[in-house]
Amino acid sequence: MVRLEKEQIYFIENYLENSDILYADIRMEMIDHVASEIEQLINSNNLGFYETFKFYMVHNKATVLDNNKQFIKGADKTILKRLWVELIKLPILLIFCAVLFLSYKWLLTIDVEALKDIISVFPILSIVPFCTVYVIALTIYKIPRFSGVERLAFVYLMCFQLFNFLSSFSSFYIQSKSNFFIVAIIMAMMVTLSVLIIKITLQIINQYRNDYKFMTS
Amino acid sequence: MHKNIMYICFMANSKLYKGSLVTIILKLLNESDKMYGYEITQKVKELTKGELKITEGALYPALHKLEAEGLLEVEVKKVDNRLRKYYKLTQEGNKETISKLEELQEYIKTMQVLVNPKVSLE
Repeated sequence: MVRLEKEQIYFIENYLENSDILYADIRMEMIDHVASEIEQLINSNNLGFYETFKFYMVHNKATVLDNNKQFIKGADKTILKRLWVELIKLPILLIFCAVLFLSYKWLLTIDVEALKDIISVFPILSIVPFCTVYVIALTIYKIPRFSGVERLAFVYLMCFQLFNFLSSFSSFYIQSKSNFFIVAIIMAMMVTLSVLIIKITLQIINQYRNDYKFMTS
Repeated sequence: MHKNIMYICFMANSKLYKGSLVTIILKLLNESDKMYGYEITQKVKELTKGELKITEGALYPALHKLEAEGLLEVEVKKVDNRLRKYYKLTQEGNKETISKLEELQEYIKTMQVLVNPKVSLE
């Protein structure tokens, strides 16, 4: 049974990377699949690596690229599903209630005009903690571009837009202290979601570090 | 050469098999300690004598979904100058396999009754 040399594996890896298969975990699985197919073909046809590779890619490149899209869609779905599952867990609900209570108590101590200014900076403040976790984790652990980690940016973006909307909505809504309970609910939602995303980011990074010990950036 | 390549590209599986993909994967993993993607495609081809060919476009998303659901766990190993991702069943995955196989057997039984009314459900 023919086994591909290290250089031939690098060749497949470079080819896939140059074909926009950017995420290391997706590329790793595709390299193994393509290499296994090529080994099988070399064995049955007694042809050289480059010739076999060329024929394989001529007939399968579209499928390989389509698979890449499927992988990415799958990664997005997995993250969103994880977010939903965690969202309805008791600890997260307790955090929501605690933040709601504390926010309401705090809101009663400040005046309406000051609150409008504070709320306008909420979206920026909410993005700081999880960006910090994301950057520090990647810098310290030096993990490569994994799909699950990088696609978290998509979730960050969605949450940032949501926070922005909530912030604008509450700024518009605050007219008197009687509306502060609604503002407290919005604050609790933003804080809870931020905590949840930080938790999921750390979980995903740790899972990759555990499952892909051999890979470093 | 060309004929062989076309053979790889040609995936004329019946739509009837599509709903059973997860059960097929779980059953194969249940029978061996761990398997990797390409190995699963080859095993299915071998067992069905080429009748059923699983494309990577169907296989990998299904494997990743099962992994996300906690039914499979993964192990990455260095094999033949490259990294290989192995999948194996978790405890929950083992339970799900039993349930999926029972479900499939019930389905086959019901279909047999419909296709051949002489066969009873008992």
